[in-house]
Amino acid sequence: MDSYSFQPSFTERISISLFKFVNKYTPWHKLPPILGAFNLAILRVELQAKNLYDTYVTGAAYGDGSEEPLPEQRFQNARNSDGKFNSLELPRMGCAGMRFGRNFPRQHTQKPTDRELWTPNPRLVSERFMTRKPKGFIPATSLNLLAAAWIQFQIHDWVFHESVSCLSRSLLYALLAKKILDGSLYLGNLIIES
Amino acid sequence: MTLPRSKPDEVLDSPDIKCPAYKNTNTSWWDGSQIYGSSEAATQILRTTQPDGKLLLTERGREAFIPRDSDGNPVTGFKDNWWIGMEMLHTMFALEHNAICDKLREKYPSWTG
Repeated sequence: MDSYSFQPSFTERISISLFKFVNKYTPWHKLPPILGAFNLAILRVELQAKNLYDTYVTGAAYGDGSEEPLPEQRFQNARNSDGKFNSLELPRMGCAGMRFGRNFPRQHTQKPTDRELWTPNPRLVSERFMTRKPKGFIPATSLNLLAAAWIQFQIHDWVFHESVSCLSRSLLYALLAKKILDGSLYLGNLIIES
Repeated sequence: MTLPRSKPDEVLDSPDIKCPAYKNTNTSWWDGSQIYGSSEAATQILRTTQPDGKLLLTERGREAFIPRDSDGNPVTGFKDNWWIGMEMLHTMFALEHNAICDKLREKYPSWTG
């Protein structure tokens, strides 16, 4: 079985091109409501086709709905908490414990080396962005803390990467804020990994 | 400071060596798993044993709170990185769930939870 990939139908492909043309002049939210809704639906199809990359080499990982009977009839219409059978054709798609997909082809998402991982150092990035400038507090005028809460809440619905359970295999990172701040410590930070 | 490290999934095929994939312990569906949990067992714990199917809330007079375990951590579908913003949204959604349960119970008394 080949990798699972979504192929838009002929009509969907035509609609994608059509709305692409329309959107050059008018964005979806300025179209009449019904048309705008169609525009959104087609944008979704396009994103699914061009912006989602499966992380399983074969689609077999998702199972085959025609071979797997529903364990309980209620899962035909009701939510199974682990996400199984949300897709009746591919029962394990999106289930808890399945691999998370990507938005880029996998050959472009190689695992970074430790050196790459720490460059730039997260502490440096944080200090540069978060340190109060002499001008004082700069308010964010376009959103408030509720936006942060809402986004975090939605992400908690969506993904949490499995982490190494053992603390000693996590990254122990010494707080060397002072050195990082004066710029002397961009690379090769103290990483203790046991 | 300790940063948890994502655990690469076992190598199933050659691309997994250079470009590891990572398992998602949540359901990837936007299905309310942060409220209801990502397993049937978790959902069972969160929903009261009453037949009305309501979510467990600690009620004090007119106030209702997300319940706490013996360590004081919230008992909900997904509780990591908790702060007041999460407390607010989880409480609001649990209250909304329970309010909908009441409406359904009123209209369809024969339904099970």
